[in-house]
Amino acid sequence: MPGILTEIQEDLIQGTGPQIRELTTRAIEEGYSASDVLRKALMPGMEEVGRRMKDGEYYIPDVLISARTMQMALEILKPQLVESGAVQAGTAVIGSVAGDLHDIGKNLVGMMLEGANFEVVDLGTDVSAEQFVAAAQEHEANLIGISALLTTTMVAMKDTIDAFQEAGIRSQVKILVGGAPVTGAYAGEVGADGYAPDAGSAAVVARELMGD
Amino acid sequence: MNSRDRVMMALDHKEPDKVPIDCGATIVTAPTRIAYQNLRGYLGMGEDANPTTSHRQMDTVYPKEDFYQRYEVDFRTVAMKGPWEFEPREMPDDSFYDEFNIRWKKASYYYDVVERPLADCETVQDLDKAIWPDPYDPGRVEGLREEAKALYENTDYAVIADIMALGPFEGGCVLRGYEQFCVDLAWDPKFAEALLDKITDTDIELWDSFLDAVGDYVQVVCQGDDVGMQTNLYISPDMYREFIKPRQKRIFDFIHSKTAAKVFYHSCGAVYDVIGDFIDIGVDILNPIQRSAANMDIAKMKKEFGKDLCFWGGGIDIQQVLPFASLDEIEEDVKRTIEIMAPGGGYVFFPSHNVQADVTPDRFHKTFETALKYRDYPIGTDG
Repeated sequence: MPGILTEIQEDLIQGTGPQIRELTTRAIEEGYSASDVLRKALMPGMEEVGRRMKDGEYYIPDVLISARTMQMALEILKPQLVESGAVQAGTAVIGSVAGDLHDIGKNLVGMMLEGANFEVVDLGTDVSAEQFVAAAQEHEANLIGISALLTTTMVAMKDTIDAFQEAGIRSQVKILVGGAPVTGAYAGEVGADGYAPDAGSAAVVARELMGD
Repeated sequence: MNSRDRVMMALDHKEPDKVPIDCGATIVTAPTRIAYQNLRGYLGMGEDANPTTSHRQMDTVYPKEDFYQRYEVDFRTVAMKGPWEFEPREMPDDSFYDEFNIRWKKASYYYDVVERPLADCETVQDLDKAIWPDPYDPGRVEGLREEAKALYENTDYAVIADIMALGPFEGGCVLRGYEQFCVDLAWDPKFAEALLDKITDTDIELWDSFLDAVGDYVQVVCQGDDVGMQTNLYISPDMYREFIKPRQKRIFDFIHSKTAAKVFYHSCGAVYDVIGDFIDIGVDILNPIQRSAANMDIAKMKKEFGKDLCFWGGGIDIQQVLPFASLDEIEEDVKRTIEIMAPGGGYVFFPSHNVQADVTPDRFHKTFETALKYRDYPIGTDG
């Protein structure tokens, strides 16, 4: 891979911050398209960050500074990406379930999904089943990410998934669930399409669900 | 053998007559209000008309004396009070501002942080402009010396000074926001250290005030600082050792200098990688052993750290087991836990965290009934 893209990828993995702006600008000046920088440097970089998180080599600060570094690069790339109509991996609507105000895990999943080139619509915390469905319709989402931290709130996952059924749009979306007390078996019981134990895995599962 | 002697022997890594039992004596070894009232009903004790809230945000209670006696709880608690000079500011949407100006909002059963007072700070100087509580407000300890003395002299229970201060890491996360504080640690360590020092100084002054009042009478002093999550530590062991460990050590050294009591440290989550560090900095007791978190197997804990560290909790997993298991499974699990954790002393029975509202009273009762049934030393000969 050309030197500048390798440098960008390495900077992203290390989460070095503002200096990635300069590198990104230089890559564009050297004639790389925004899409090249995204697909050849940033996305594989975030994939590696996700892998390191999944394998326990990276901790929360490492993931956050990589994600923030990615945002800095994306700010520069966005206008060109929009102009060229670059195709995204999908549109994800994410949120923490009704009754749950926890958002650390959900936010990390959002960052990793952005890193995997999803358009992410984050509905925040304490999101009702109706809000999930309405946002999915409004944004024509193909991925729904539902988070819960507590055994007392994870029951709302089933209500949320049922609401997609009732609205007649269950087959249009893939539903991914996660959060501290959630297990793969529980995900199956509530009728989700996928489960991920951490944000790094969530991006991988999300791409698989999109048929990538 | 009375409760206090039993507890002291166990915490000195010796086998007393029975495994000590806790159920409600700290804010992290407690029934939530709903689980407590449900169990009272189930036991025919009748509702507690005016339950004492031990932690508003977690909706936990200090049980009434009849409940403690029903489960032969070996502890009683002195809790720091609120200051005279501050009242929480209540908002119409079931949220409130606390002493640090943190806004907590209720959703389902609990309050969580929705506004963080230091979120917009940019410089170390900004930290001084923030609101910091007055640790020496006399309201905090009003009447506590008499209360602790009475518990010490007129009862045989082990007396606990409960958690009343945010630990350095958790404090940084709550005051600044988890994400921003984690980024500070990586990108702006000077700021992070200044904030951690402020929190640590405040904690030490709070302990100074609290232990001046109760230090002569308590056998256990509790400090929390959650550094673990489900799958791993929040921050790397190296980062923990650089930023957090030295501050926690300052707090524990200070507590040890003010009282002969044992230090009980609470951290949820997957903390295996730094348990040796906890022992280094003067932790006597680790709570809770979150068994469903990564790498937190109780047998491994006991084998690797049981000689140097007491465990208090982990009696049954509350994420995957207690809310869902059959009564037989609960009995089997609790019995096995006692067989693993109790030999040689160094163990106090309680589940792996507060008993939540979704735990049915028959399951809650079965847990403690089983602990009572199998807690006699030598372990493995009863039941």
